[in-house]
Amino acid sequence: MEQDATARFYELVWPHRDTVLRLAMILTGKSDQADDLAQETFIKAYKAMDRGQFRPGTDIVAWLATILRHTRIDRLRSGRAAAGNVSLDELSDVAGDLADTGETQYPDWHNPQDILSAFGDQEIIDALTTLPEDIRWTLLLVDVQGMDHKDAAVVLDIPVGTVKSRVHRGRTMLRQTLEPLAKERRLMRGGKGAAIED
Amino acid sequence: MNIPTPDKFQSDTNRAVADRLARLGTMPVDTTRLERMIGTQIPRPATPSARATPRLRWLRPLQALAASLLVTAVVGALIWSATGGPVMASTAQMAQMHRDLVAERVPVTKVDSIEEASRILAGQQPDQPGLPAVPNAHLMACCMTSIKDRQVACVLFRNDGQPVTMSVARASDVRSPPSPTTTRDGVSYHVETTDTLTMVTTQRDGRWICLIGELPADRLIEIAHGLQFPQDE
Repeated sequence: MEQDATARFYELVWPHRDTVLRLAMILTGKSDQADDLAQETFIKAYKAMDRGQFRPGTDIVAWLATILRHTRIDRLRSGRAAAGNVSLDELSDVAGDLADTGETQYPDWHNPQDILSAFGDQEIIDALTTLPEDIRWTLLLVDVQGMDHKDAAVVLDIPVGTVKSRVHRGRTMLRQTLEPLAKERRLMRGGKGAAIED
Repeated sequence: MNIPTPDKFQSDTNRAVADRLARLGTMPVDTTRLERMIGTQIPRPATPSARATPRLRWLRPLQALAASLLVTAVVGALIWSATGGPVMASTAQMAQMHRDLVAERVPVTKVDSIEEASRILAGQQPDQPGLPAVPNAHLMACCMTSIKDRQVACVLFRNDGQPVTMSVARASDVRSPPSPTTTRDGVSYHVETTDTLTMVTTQRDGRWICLIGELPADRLIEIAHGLQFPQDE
């Protein structure tokens, strides 16, 4: 049985190590924590396979993402994540707690693709790690991993509607987080609608 | 002049954020450390190419030499496993051992110090590996037990008000189950948890050491890290 689980682990699960480590990296923002988180995730996946808890035909990436999420929650709860950038309060559903992100004024984002392309991957990850855990997870699954809302809802164990609202709010929050840096680099002008006229 | 509406602004910028995040999905990651960690804990099964085939007689001399070395290694491993490689100490097994010790369901000897425990256990099993000292621990009891047929020395002590069992065996006799590891000062610690117990195992000074109790993993790792080994070994 153990031999069988090992063979299936290396055949089915292990090819997704890049994906899991990448998600862990974006989630934690630190490579050593990402390695530890991914390691624990793979060991749990292996044990689950050994116990026959993996059903053939299951979406492996969604299954691994679910294990990764539970592992992350366990680690945060047991205080083993040393990052300190996420509080346990942030594990709760934040959808109803977010400040209204509707903007009555909008700064100079007239070319958002170019502005966002000017940021490096690590800068985007750093900005992501400042967002609440629930929002970060939703953006990770939907935007980074390209999951549809229904699959993301299963992984996150929330309704599809909540996924949609979190995606919207999360994108807005990420843009707002990056805005000061964009201004500092003169990627955009001062804002308050100053440059919306082409 | 083209003035975007707030809706269009939201839509354009959100699309741009989504596109930028999607690029993170192809970001390269270095899996070297992860591969090393998992490879240690979940060894890959032998591949079909490792098996000898009739084509061996046509192999060139260097390949033949490599193949013979492989065969020697396999035979050696078989002999070694027949004489007994390390047995795995499962978390459930160690948890049961701890509970039995705490409840005195196994014969134990009451002791007050690690020196006294070492003396008593050496009397019972002269070739058992020496016990490391546990700083700031209140010793309670000790006993010799076994995992399969491998001798394991156990001491029960109290730390932070909680009973903790330390089991010590030769590193060549017992190994840890696959579990997440934490490294401190170059020493790896395996961490496993059950419903209420945490188990930390490590290898130091040729010994396999297991600490198990109702303490956080960090505390058990701290205790394991502070163990003091006899100088003469």
